[in-house]
Parts: sequence; C-alpha cells; structure tokens
Amino acid sequence: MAQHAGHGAQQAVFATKAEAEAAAKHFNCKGAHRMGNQWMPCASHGEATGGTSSPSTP
Amino acid sequence: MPAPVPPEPSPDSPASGCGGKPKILAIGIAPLGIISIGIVPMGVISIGVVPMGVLSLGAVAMGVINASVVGMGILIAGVNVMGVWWVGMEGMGPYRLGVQAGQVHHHDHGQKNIHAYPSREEALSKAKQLGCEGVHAMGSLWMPCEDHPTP
Repeated sequence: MAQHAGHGAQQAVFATKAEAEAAAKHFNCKGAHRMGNQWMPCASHGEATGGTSSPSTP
Repeated sequence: MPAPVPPEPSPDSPASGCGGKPKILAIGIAPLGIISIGIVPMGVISIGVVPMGVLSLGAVAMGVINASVVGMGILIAGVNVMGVWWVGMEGMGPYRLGVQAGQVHHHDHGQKNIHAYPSREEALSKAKQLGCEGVHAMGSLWMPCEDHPTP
C-alpha cells in the first residue's frame, strides 16, 4: 500500500516488486522496475509523462 | 660504571594496574581483572558503569558481547547500540536480531527521495529541501531531483 506523506505525495520506493506493481496504478503506469535493492512503480524509469497539474514540462 | 638496575616490584605492591598481572576478581573504581566489577572496569568479563571487556555489562559499554544502555560490540543488546548483530530500541548495524530489515528504524526517512508528487511545483520544492536540482516524471507523478542518485 502506498503511503502518503501529505499533499498527495505517493510513496515511490518499495521493498518488494509486488508492492511497487500494486502502487503503479497511482502513477498511471504498469509494472515495476528495480532501483538498487528496492523497487519503484512503472516498467521503467523512462515511462514518464508527468502530471497534468503541471503548467510546463520538465 | 655499572648499569642502573631497575627496581624489582614488591610482592606487596598493587598487581591490578596497567602492566601488572590482573586479578581473578577485581572490584573498584578502575579495576583490572579477569572478572572486573566497578565504575570503569576492564577485563574479560566487565560489569559496571563504563565497562570494557570481552563480555561487558553496564551503562555505557564496549565489548565483543555486550549488554548495555549505550554500547558498541559485535553482538550487542541495549537501548542505543552499534554492532554487527544487535538487539535494541535504536541501533546501527547490518543484522538486527528479531526484526526484519524493513522494520529497522532509520533517522533519515524524511531526507530521502522516496516520494512522488502530483504537481511539478511540489516536487521542485521538495528537491530544494533535499539539496538537489530539478524534477523528473514517474508515470503521471513527479519526483524531486533531475535523476535518482546511484544506489
């Protein structure tokens, strides 16, 4: 389960692949990728579009 | 001219000081013995306020096997400890006994880049707090820093 750190923040680093995959829905992506000895949502770090709440692109 | 002869230690002189033969049981303010009990004991088994020994029991201790309030050792139990294998409320070391690694408390939780934010601005603000520049997208969310540091 993704933890919230306030202001809609989503936990993005997880101990297990299953946790990261489950959290991927909050990121509007699928899958998980390894980051060191932990896991992050989305099949790859490059699967990134950015939120619509941003007025500009990164 | 004959060379000066160092004085022979008296059989009655204290034998538990530095360089002396340790007692089997030493008790005192700074005792040295196989078993030492005192304020600052040193020995194979040390019990006291600030003990140092192979096996140390005390308030602030250092020992291979150690049980203390604050201590450092190979195998250690206490309140605030540092060791290879440790048990305690707070500690540092590769192996915490009885608790899974994920449950180990770390003080720097709030300083790591482990959250994503709905808005780029919020991620950018967090990046400044973390001491990095820019943001990067993760799915439809934003994470602080232009990139993740190499794990």
